Amino acid sequence: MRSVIELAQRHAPREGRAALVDPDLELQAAGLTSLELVGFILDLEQRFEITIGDALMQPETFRSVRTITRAVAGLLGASGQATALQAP
Amino acid sequence: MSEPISPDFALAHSYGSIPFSQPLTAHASVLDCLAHQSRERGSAPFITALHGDQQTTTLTYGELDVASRRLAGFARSELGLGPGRVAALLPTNDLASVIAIFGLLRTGCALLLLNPRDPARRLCEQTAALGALAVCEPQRVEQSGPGPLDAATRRALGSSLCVLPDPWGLPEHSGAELESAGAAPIDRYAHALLFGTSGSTSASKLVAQSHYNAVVNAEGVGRHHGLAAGDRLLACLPIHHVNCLHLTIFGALAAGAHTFLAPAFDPFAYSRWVERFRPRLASVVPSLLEALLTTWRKPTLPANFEYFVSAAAPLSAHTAQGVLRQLGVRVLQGYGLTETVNFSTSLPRRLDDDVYRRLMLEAAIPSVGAPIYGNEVAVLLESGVRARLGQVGEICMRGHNLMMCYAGNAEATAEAFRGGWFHSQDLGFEVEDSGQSFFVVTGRSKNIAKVRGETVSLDEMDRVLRSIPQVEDAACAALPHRLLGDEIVAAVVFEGQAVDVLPQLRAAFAAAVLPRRIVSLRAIPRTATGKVLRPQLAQLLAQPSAAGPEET
Repeated sequence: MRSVIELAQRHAPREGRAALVDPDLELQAAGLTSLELVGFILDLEQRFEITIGDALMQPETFRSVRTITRAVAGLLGASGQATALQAP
Repeated sequence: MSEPISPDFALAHSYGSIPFSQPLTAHASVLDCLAHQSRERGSAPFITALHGDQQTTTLTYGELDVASRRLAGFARSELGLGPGRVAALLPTNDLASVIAIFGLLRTGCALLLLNPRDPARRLCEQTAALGALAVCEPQRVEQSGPGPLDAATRRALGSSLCVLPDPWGLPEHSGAELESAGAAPIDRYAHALLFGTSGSTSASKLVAQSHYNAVVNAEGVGRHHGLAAGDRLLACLPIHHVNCLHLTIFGALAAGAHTFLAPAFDPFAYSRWVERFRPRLASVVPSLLEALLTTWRKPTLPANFEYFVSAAAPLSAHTAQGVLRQLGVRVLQGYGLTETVNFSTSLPRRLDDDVYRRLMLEAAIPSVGAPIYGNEVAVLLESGVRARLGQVGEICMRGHNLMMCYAGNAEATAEAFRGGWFHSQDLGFEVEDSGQSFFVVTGRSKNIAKVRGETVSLDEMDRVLRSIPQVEDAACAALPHRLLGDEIVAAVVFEGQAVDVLPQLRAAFAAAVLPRRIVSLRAIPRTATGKVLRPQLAQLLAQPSAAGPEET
């Protein structure tokens, strides 16, 4: 989860970064607008070498660090869960 | 026009041999267009606004005519608005704001369009500079939840802030009643719309557009895009932007078309909007196209969808290629400034495939197209002579869609219209392809950034930073960003210990355009005469991991 948090913080405005340690905080509340979110999605795909399919491309998937981590872990499968959930 | 005009103004506002005093349009204003459409197709839908998750409300031409007259009656009697007066409006993408724009214009006042997300200081400065009688906030009856204004901004605006009433609860006013009260007829050359913009100098300028300017642009974009009654357009850009207001509201109005107005861009909902509303064209900025290419994984556009209209920031060939490859449609890039009332040029919509490929997909810089009806475009050298084909010079315009002036700034107005042309301070060249002339914008001589389609004066940002006591020197640079267009990075030289400069920046600029990074430097690269070396600064700031700069 920490690696997802770090990626989210990279795209958030300065004042919203610290609050993102709360995995249930809505990304919008941390100041991520739609364009920042799109940049975040691109980084997630690159960092975890995944493709987020059409079914997951929904606002609910990107609501918080926790929902994103769950989606990424699902895409990585059991063996990859550790990568998404642990620190890099 | 009652005021004397200079030869430069007259020449800059001519269109071929047609002087400014000889109108190109049948209607004198967008209000006349509304009256016409209300008569011809009163029950036809004009704007469908999305609110909540899936809900929409539609306003017909007839309903807008009635509601805006009711609101005009209120604004005249309760706010004292009328010809020669100025009102400010904090609009958002909803029906109440559309009604407010037309209602306030009906009083004959000039309407300052504000960005509701601008900081209080900027809003107060703009309204004070024009002596606005009231700062109006539409009553958003179709929305729940708080509006865009925060409590501090409300406090700063104080008693000048007026929440407009629901027009449907106001008494009916006929056109004749308003006329007898002095609200009409509208002088076509009177100031109708005022917009803040960023100029080459530090101070933000306020552009004054006349009723006639707006209706000429509406006619021009209508002709260019072949807009017709019943045509559908998709709009999601902010309504306080010239792009949204002049193309998707006024342009649609003049043609009797129907606009779907989304509250804001939503990359996840966009495909649903397209599927549901089935527009023929959609207005975007390049960063939104990039976002759609990323998030729209299984795109299907309705068969009637023809193209995206992109403006406000440079479009890359890579984006145009991606849109054609993934979405199967073209992007028609347009170009213009607030001073030229939105669109000066646009790529023609019926270009041969080979020409589109050469101009948009294979060109190092995609073309912004050809002049739209009502204005002429030329590339001029410093001497004032026209550049040869392919030779870079300043892009200049003349025509009936040029602004009237920078409000309260005669010097800047005279400078902008010198030699009988409007000087854009954008650089570019002209090319010919298949016997037609097209323009390419290569860069800017003015010091601005385009963040999310918003124009930001870097000089103004430098000035705010340098006004902080602990700052010895500062300068900002615009670095290219795939999704934002530009991202601003601020370089600051502190006197002693570094301090947080964001509070001062936040007080002066909207949050969306604030610097993404603030870097502490030992010195700002400058010439021997003290001028900031912007390219060197940008190069330095583009390498955040370099030994020199440190992020604060």
